[in-house]
Parts: sequence; C-alpha cells; structure tokens
Amino acid sequence: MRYTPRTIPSLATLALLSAGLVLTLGPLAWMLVTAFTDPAALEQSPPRYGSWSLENFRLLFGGGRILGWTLNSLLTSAAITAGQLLFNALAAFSFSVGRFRGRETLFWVVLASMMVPGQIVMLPLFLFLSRWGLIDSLWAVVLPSLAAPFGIYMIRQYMDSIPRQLQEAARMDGAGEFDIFRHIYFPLSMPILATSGIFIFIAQWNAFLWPLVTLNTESSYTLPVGLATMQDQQIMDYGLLMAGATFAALPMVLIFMLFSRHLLEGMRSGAVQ
Amino acid sequence: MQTPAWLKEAVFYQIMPDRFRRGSPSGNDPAGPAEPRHPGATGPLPASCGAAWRRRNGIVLLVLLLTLLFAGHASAVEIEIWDYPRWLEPGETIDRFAWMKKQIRAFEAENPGIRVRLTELTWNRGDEKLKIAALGGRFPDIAPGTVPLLFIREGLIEPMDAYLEPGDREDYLPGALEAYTVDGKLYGWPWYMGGQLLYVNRSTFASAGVELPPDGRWTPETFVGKLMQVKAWQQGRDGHFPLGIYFQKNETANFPFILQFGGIWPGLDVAGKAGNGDISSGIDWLRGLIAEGLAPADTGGRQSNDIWTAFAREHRIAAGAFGLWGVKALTDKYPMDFELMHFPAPAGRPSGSFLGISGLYVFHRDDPERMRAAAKFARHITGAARQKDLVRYTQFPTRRSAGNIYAGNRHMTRAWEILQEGRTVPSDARWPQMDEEIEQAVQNALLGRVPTQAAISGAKERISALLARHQGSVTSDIRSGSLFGRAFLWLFPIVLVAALFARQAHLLMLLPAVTVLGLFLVYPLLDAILLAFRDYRLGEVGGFTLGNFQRVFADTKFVHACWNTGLYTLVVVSVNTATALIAASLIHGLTGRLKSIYRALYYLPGVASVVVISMVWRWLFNTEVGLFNTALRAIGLPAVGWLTNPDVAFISVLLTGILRSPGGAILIYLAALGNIPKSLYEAADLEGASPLQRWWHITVPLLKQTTMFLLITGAIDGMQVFAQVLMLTDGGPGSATEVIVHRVYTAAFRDFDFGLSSAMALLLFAGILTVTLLQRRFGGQTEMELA
Repeated sequence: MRYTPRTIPSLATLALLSAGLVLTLGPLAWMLVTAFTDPAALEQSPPRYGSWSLENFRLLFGGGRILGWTLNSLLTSAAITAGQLLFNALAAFSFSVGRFRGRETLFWVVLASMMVPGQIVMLPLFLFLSRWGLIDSLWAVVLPSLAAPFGIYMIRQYMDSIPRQLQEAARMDGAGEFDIFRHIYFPLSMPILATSGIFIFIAQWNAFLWPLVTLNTESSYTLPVGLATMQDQQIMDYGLLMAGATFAALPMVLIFMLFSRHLLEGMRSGAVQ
Repeated sequence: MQTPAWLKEAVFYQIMPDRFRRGSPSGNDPAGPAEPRHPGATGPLPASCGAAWRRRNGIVLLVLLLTLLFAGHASAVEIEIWDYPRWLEPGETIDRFAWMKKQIRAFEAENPGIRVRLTELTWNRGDEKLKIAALGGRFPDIAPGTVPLLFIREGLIEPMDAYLEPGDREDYLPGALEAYTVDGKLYGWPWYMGGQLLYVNRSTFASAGVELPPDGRWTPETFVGKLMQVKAWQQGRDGHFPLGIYFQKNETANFPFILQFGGIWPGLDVAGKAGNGDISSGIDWLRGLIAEGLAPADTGGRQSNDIWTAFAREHRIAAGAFGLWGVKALTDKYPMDFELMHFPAPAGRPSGSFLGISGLYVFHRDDPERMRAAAKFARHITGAARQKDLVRYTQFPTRRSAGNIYAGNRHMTRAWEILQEGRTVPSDARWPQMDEEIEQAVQNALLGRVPTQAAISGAKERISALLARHQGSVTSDIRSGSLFGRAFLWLFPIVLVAALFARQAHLLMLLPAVTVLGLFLVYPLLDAILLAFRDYRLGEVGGFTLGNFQRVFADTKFVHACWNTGLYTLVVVSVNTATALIAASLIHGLTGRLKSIYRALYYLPGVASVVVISMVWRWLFNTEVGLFNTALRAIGLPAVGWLTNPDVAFISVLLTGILRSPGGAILIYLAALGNIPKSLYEAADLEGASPLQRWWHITVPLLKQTTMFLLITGAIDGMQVFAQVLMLTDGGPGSATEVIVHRVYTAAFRDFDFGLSSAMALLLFAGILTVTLLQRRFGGQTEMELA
C-alpha cells in the first residue's frame, strides 16, 4: 500500500486548515487588493479590479497627516513599552525579592486590579485628566499605561524562578538592592521582558477606545483614531481607506515576522491576556 | 479577602498625584496661556551714578517704559483656530486647508502682532470630538460650526457684540444674525449658509418619460405619482428605486418629508408651538412609499453615504435629499444631469428644507488682547471679501456686500429660491440628544420594528424628560474637582512623608508602578462607583441618588445592548473556542515546517487591530459597491443590506467576530496538546479506535480545563466588544447592533450623562467580575499551569 493511514487524514487536514485560512486571511487579502487597485477603476460601477496602481498610497501620504499619526503612534507605543517594562520590572522585583510587611496583600491588590475593565475607569479618568489639562495630549495616552498588573504578575512569576543564591552572593559583595536589580534580575529576565515588550507594543499600537476619547484634534491622533476618522463627509474613498488600513497593519506584520518566536513562545506561556 | 485591609494598604501606597513629580501641569498644557515673547526686551541698563542723578533716573525710567511698551507691542499674541477641511483651491489636489492657511498668512502679514495656529479637524466625528475636548477644558480660541448653544450655556463663548464694526449688523442677512443671537447677544460670526435639498436625476426621469414640474414644486400626490412612473420604468431591477431616504443623527436632510403635513417634533408640542398634529402622519406617508416599493425596504437603516453612492455614483436611485455640497460633487466628481426640487408639500405650504448657518465662534479667555485678536481674525475670515470664495464651496454668503456670487448658476439660483422657504432646527443646546431620539424613533418606525405611534410616544416621553431637567453647568464642576480628588490632595503629603520615612529600597522601587495603578486605575474605579450614584450629567450636577440605576433599566437601548452583548459573547466565544480546538488539533498533527507555517498564518490576523479589520469588513459589506453585493448581483441574486437591514446587521457583526482568527486560543491549545502523554493514544490505537474517536474520547476531555479557561477569558473579552460596532454600524440601524460598551461610550461622550454611563459601566463590571469568579472556581488552575 502506497498511502499509509497516516498521510490520508493529513491531506484532509491540510485542506481543512487551508479553507480556514481563506476565511480568516480573506479580508486582509481583500484589503491589499483594494489598496493597490487604481482608484479610477474602483469608481466604476460595479468596481473593476485588476488594474494595479500606487495612486491610493500617493493620496494617503500626500496629505501628510498619516505620517503625523504614525509618529504619534510610534511615540506613545515606544514610551509606554519602555516605561511599562521598567516600572513593571521594578515592581515585580520588589514583590519577588523584597521582604516587607503587607507585600502579599499589596500583590493581591495589584492582581485584583487586573479585573477592572478599561471602560469603567474611562470616564472618571477622562474627567481627572481634563482637570490637569492633559486632554488632547499624548500624555493622556501614555501616563495611565505606564504600569500594568498583568505585566507585573508575569515578570514576577519569572523572577521567582531566579535562584536566591545569586542575590545573596551579590549582597555579600556589598551590592545594594538597585545593583541587584540592574546587574542580576533585569538582565536575567530578558526573555520575559522581550515577550512582554512585544505584546505591550502591539497592544498600544492597536489601542483604540482610550485614544479615541482623549485625543481630539487631528494633530494628536494616533493611527487607529486617525483611520477611524479618515473619510470625507459623504464620499467614502475605499481605496484610500484600505491603503491606510494596510499601512497601519504593516508594522505589526513586520514585528510578527521578526519576533514570531518570542510571540508564539509568550502566547504559549499564557501571556496573552 | 479582607476588603478593609487591602483598601487601607492601597490608599496608603498607591496615592501619589503626579503633579508633584512632573512639575506644574501647565507646562504640559497645550491650551495653557501662550507665553508672550519679548524679542525687544533688552538687558538691565547700566546704572551709572552722576551729578544729574535725577535726570539720569528719569531717562532710565523713560527707556524702561519705552522698552516695555515696545515689547508689549512686539510680543505676538498667539491664537488657535480649529477648522474642518473645506474646498480644494484651484491647483490643489489634496490639502483642503490650503485656503485657510493662505488666509492666515495674509492676516499675519497685515497684523504683525498676531500669530494664528491652525488645528485641523476631521468631518467624521469632528463635532463630537470638539465637544469632548471643549468640555474637557481643551478648547481653541476660535472654532467653526453652527451656533454653539451647548458651549454658550456652559459660559465658554464670548459675545461678539463689542467687536462688531459699524455697518456689520446691517450687512448681515437677518436670518444669519438671528441664528447666532442668544438672549439678545451675538455669539459668533456667521460665515456661510447651506441647506439640504431634494436632488433629482433628470436623465432617469426623462428616460422614464416623467416630466418635472418647471417651478420645482410638487404636492405629495403629484410627487408620489411621478415616483410611481419612475418605478414602472425601473421594472423592479435589484437595488433600483425612485427615492432614497435616510435618517441618522445630525442629518436633517429628510425631515421635510415627515414634517410636510405640519407635524411638530415630539416633546416640543407645548403651548405656543402648536401645529396640526404630530409627525406620525409624515412617517406613515413615508411607510406608504416604502410599502409601494418607491424606496428601499431597509430605508431606516441606510446611511447618507449609502444613499449618496446609490444616487450619484451607481444611478440606482433617482431622487434623494443631500446638502448643498452635492451641487459641487455632481458637477466635478460625479457629473450628472440633475435638478434641485422643492420637497413635496400640500399646496400653499412652504416646502420647508432645512437650512443651516455656519460660522466661527470665539471662546472666552481672560486675556483681553487675545480676545481682541481672536475676534479680529474671526471677523476677517468671515468677511465679505472672503465670502466671495465660497463659490468654490457651493454655500451661500451671509453678508449682503459679498454680492450674488452665483449669478448665472442655474442650480444655485434654484437652491436659493428653495431655501427661502427653509426652516432650522429648534434652538436648544439639547437638540443633539433630541435629534438622536427622533432619528431613532423614525428609523424604528420606518423599519417596521415599532408601530409609528409607539415609536413617537416613546421618543416624546424621553425628550420631555430631557427638557424637564434643570439646566446647569457641568464644565465648572469638572474643573472644581470631585470629592475624591480633594481627598486625594489632602492625603498626598501624608503619603509622601510615610514613603520617605520607610526608607525601604523595595518600597521605593514599587512606588512608580503603584503610583500609576493607584492614580489611573484604583482612584478612577472608586470615582466611577461614586459617579454611578450621583446625578451628574450635562445640565444637572446634583447630589447622591439611586436614580441612575432606575434610568439604566428604563433605557431601552441599554436593555437591547445587554441582549446583544450576551448573544455576541455566547455565539462568538463558543464558535471561536470550537474552531480553535479543531484548528489546533489539526495543526498539532502536522510536523516540522508545515506546522510552524500554519501556526504562524493562523496567528497573523491577530496582530492587525480591530479598527483595521473592521474597516475592511465595512468595505466588504457596503450595500452598493461592496464585494459581497457586487458578487450577489453578478450571479443575479438580490443584494443584502448587510449593515443596513436591522435583521441582518447584527448577524454581520457576529460574522466579523467569528471570522477573526482565534490565533491566541489556538496557541494555548497547542501548548496543552503538547502536554498530553503519547501513551494514552497508543492504548487507544491498540483498541482500534479511529482518529475521530481518539480525538473525541481522549483529546477533547483532556483539554477540558484549557477549554474552560478559554471560554471564560473569551467571555470576559466578548462582553467588552466595542470597536467593531463603532466602526461598522455605530449601534444602528435603530438600536439593532447596540452593545454595552458602545452605550457606555455614547452615554458619556455624546449625551454627557456621566452618572448614567458610570452606572452602566458598573453593571458591566459586575458581570465581568461574576465571570472572573467563575474562572477562579472552574478554570483558575490552567492559567497557573501554563504560566
């Protein structure tokens, strides 16, 4: 027999899996097709496809706005990633190494705050930040995200697995707590920090509701907010919209390609929350 | 769980307002007063002593005084204007702000002491965002729009009477001046006048052999008669209709149809505003048109851009109501032989198009010089000379001295005639909320979801309640700070001292994260709970009450939103978990490269944002030109109102949720699959079990924990569904796709009913908490195992 029983289900498997991919990747493929189609052909009735052009992208970048939005997105995502990693790592270190009264209680509070959905604090936070005059500035997006309970939890779990002997030895040599953090725990936690950082970056790049509420003028928009408002009064220019969507998705796909190992590893350790 | 203990701990460690860390907040405040620059200021003058001390001193003083005066004059006053994109200047292809920028440059050259900064708004959600920003204290000096009743009531707008120059008053058309006058004061500079008119495709009517009345007037009967003729000619081809109608918020275009019999807005039929009857006769008339097939069956769900595409681009619809901008678009972008018509009206009644006066208004500032500069610039931009440029915008000037800029333009001349019989929306700051109620009632009635009378009386009830409220200022209250805010400020020094006394390295390292979490998570949470029990909304800032929760359950939209959210969670989460399980099992059976490729491809769509994915779906679902309907038409099937038909719209939303690859879940399943010992399968093989049997009897039961975990975390996510709905349907048609978070968002940032919004958010929180506790009960272990 040429076909072992193992390979026949395998062919069916491939067919099934590919069918699933057509459904989930289909919309993205359609986005690419539309983005690279000549706008004049899209204006036909019914729209014609097959004449490729970069005209949509020319229009997209011609206004110059999308570059500003991209810059805002980059700034906020980078600032939040850096800040959150540092603050989370510091807190995780104290929770993991520190011996102070109320440590576990406080840790429990931090864990519990994981359950608070963003929408419930959205309004009071908006009122609060507007009192400080921070509405419509990137600070409003960055500040509330500079620490996250899940990140603290994740990094602490990791740091708990670092042998205690290391810090004890360092302390013998007269190292302070900050030295132990900087020279031992921070470098040793690199794998989890990398995974965590990629997740934070992607999440911030895609963040929508909070930036939508706090950023109110075109020059402060991040990419998702800008995209959501990117249509004229009545006339929907879908070629342009799809070009914008493509441009916004591109960096994430690149990050995914570059760091897929970290990402998938992180996912597997239950990091996506 | 000892609540008092952790609360104490939290308050103790987590409070640390960042004002004191970052320095004065005004440094970061883009709206803060502009620092006057002193380019002319010189250094201190050398004070040499001499006999003529007195004289010297006098000269020094004089020089100082002059320097100060000079500096005072040279220091630029900076003002900020927010504006929408306008028209393209000749030769421009992209920048719709080029005209404004040119005017700013010219103005700055004429007024060396004034600098003008332009902030570009977008039309889409621009109005909403302007309101949110202004109430949040971030407002420009000058903003565009119709008379800003809301801001006037909040005391944010400066009357312009003092800045009018002789002859200005006489120069404005009386209607324009009136539109910006509230309580006898002029609150802005009228710029242009537009309106919404009935457009008719002349060639379609001609092909159908239907003659248009030469004076552009028709009674409802002749109107219907002509539409019937067009319909007969169209022969019921799919998607072809004589008339297109839409009702959505901020769109008054089609109101003349329902007001033609003299109807009065529900809730406004108080003494002194008597008309003959409510708007139900108009709605029933429209329902009649729909029943006759003269307008699409999903009329209530269609949006203006659906109708516009069908009319201007696809020529499927022969008549529709659009703003004056259509004249320009039908000349340049979509050339068409069209005609502007009066809305149908019984003989002797005005046709009653809606018209709107737009202008610039000036926000109040304490700096009189800045006020003067802003007023001057607003007056300049809206001046008669600049109004001549409106010819490129197809809007009418508001100043007589701009002259007739449309002489010889047939359409604009007709438009002017029609608008003479026009009307405006009620002059009330709460009109946007009233409008939303009315639009929704009309939508529901037209869609046949609710009987006309019931829809109207529902709207009437809600509008009356809205109008009965006491009017107050919420802005001042936002500024003054909440109870908690003040308590926190008092607590701050105590915490600081405590933190310093502790002198613990670990506590210090904890401080940044704990500060952020305390300030931006715990404190707002406590504040949200407080808000939910306070009567805190635009127009009323009251004391503690349970009324919000009563109103939550009386809010039909919220009740609908709960059902939808529940359904979404149930369907999307169970389907996604099931597909993830199947996909993961299949991928697990693969080996090597193939395995990692499929794994990556399944995860890939997960990194694209919901916004991006939703934009694509919206394009696919487009009624007129989307891929799905284009394909359906190509094979001769009727088009589906994917997002416009209320019976289909929510299914479409579900579809987008289901077809989002559950990449994360697949990976978690894959990890769990790797942990199943091979020996179990070998035993099953010995008993001759088929692969399917092995999967069903071994794999699925062993993954129960993981499945439970994914179901519960999925449910927590599903309950917070928002972005899809906002992007795809904005909760419509009617309230067919309303979900909880969307309602929380609209209650807070469109209706500015903060108490109600917080109460709804709190209920959502309670729901999520319940599910989370379920997780701890049933699925908690898995998370730990995997980590």
